[in-house]
Amino acid sequence: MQLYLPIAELSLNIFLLMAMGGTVGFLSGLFGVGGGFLLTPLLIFSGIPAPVAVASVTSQVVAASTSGALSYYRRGGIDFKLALYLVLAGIIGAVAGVWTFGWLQSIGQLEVTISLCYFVFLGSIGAIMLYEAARAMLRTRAGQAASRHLPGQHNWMQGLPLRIRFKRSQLYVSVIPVVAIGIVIGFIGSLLGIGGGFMLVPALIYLLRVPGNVVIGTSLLHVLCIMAATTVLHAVSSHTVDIILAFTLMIGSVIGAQFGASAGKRLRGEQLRLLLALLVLGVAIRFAASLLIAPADPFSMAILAQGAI
Amino acid sequence: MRRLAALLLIWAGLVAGPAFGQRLIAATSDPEVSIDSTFSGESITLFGAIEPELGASEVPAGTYHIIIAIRGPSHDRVARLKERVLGVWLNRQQAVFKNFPAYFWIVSSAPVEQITDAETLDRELLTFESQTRTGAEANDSMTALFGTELVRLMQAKGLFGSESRAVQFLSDRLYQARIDLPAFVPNGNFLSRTMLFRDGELVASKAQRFTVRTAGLDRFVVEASRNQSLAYGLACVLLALGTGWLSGAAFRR
Repeated sequence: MQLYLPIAELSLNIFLLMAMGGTVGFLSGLFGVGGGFLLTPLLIFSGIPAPVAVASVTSQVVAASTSGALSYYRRGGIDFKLALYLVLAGIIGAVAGVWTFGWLQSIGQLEVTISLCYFVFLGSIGAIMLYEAARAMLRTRAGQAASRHLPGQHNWMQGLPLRIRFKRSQLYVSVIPVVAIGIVIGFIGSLLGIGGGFMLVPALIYLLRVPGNVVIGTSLLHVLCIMAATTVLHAVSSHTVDIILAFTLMIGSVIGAQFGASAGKRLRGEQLRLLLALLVLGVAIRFAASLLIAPADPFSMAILAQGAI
Repeated sequence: MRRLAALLLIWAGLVAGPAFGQRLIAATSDPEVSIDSTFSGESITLFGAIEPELGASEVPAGTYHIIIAIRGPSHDRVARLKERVLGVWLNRQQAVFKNFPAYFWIVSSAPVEQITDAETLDRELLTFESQTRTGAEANDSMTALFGTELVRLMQAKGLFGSESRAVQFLSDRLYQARIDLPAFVPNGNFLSRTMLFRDGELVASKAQRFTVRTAGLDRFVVEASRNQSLAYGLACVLLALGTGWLSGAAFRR
C-alpha cells in the first residue's frame, strides 16, 4: 500500500516505512540509543529528500524519547537543574543549527553537508566502538574480567570558574562545560536530525562526572526538549517536517522499541556493542559511497521562492 | 452534461452568422479544478469553436489548427550542476530562473512544427525554451544549457510536456481538448492560451484562467505547514509526545 508523503512529495510503501521505524525502534530498544542517527540515513537512502528526512526524524525522536524520559522521571532518575541548563544552552545550539540548515539549503549545499557530517561522525564513532568492543571481547576470551574504566575524580574542567551546585547529581562544577556541551549537541542534533543521546551520555559521564543513576534520564529529557524545539524551528523556518512520515515512523519505532528492549536482556553486552559498531560503520560507508560515486544525474532543481503568476 | 449544453450553445451561436473573417470562442469544463485523489489526478476539458467574424457569414477557407498552451503558477527556480571537488560530488554552478512556470503543457491538433514555423512558435512562447528565457538572470550559453536541463527535469516529472493530438476537431469548427492534470500539479492559477492558426498564420487567440486546488488531507498538511507553520510544528510535537506517552503507558508492566 503506497502512502503519499505530502511534504516529501513522493509515495512510499507504508509497510516499508513502518518496518524502517520498527527496525530502528528495535535497535534503539536493544542498544539504548535514540536511533535518529540510523533512521535519518535510512530515509535518505530510500529517496526522501535529506532536508525532509532530518526534520521529520526530529519529531520522531521526540516520540521515541518520551516514554523513556517518563519512566526515568518516575524513578527519580532526572536531574532537572542540570537538564534545564543543558536545554537552555541546547536551544541556542538548535537555533544556530536550524539557521545553518536553512542557509546551506539556500545555497544548495545541504545534502552534501549532511552526508559529509554523517560520514565523519558515524565513521569515527563506529571505529572507536569497534575497537573498544573487539578489545573487550578479546579480553573476555583471554579469561580476564573486563576492567571497567572508571573516571578519575578530577579533570581540568573542575578548575573553571562560575561553578554551580547540582544537588541531584551531587556535582559542583563550572557552568561553562555544561553550556558548551548543550550548545554543541543542540547544533549537531538540529543539523543532522539526531537526538544526540549517544554523544551526550559519554560527555556527561566523562566530562562532567554525572553519576550513572541520573545520566540516562537527564540525557533523555534533554533530547526530548531539544528535539521538540528543533521540530518547531524546522517547521517554521524550512517547512520540511512531514507529519505523515513522522507519525508512520513513530508508530513503527515505539512498537519496535518494546521488542528491542526485551531482546536486549537476552544478549551479551560485548556482542551487542560489536553489532552496533558494525552497523554504524556500514551506514558511514554508505554515505561515503553517495559522496564519491558519480550521481546518475548531475543536474538537479529546486524552488527558491514563490513567484507571481 | 454541462459540457454538452455549453457545446450546443456555441453551436447555436455558430449557425446564425453572416459574411467574412473568423474569431475564436473558448471555454473550460471547470473554472475550478479540484483534485481529490492522490494517485490519478484530474482532467480538464477545454473546448470552443471557430466562428465567423461579426458581420461575416462564413469562416474563410483554409487549414485550421489549434495550439493550446497551459501555464501553471510560477516560482523562482534554480538548476544546479554537481561537479567533483576533491573526489566529492557537490553542487557547483547554478542558474536562477525567475517566475518559471511550475506547469507548462502544450497541446495541439497536429505536431506544432507542422502547424507553423519555428519563429512564430518562439514568438508566441509555444516552446519550452521560451519559458526558460523570460526569467533568466543572465543571457549566456551557460544559462541556456541550464535552461535546457531544467526543462528536461520538468519533463521527467511530468510537469512540462506536449501532446500533438490532444486537440480534436469534432466538426469543421468545433474543437475540444482533454488535459490530464497529474495529482502533484501545483495549486494555483492556470492560464490557458488557445491559438488558432490558418495555413500556418496566427489568426485568433483567446486566454482563459482556471484554478487548481487539491483537496484532501495531503493538501491540508501542505497548506498548514506553509501558512500555519508554528501551529503545524507544535502539532507535530504534541503528536509525538502523545504517541510516546501512549506507548509508554500501553507497554508498561
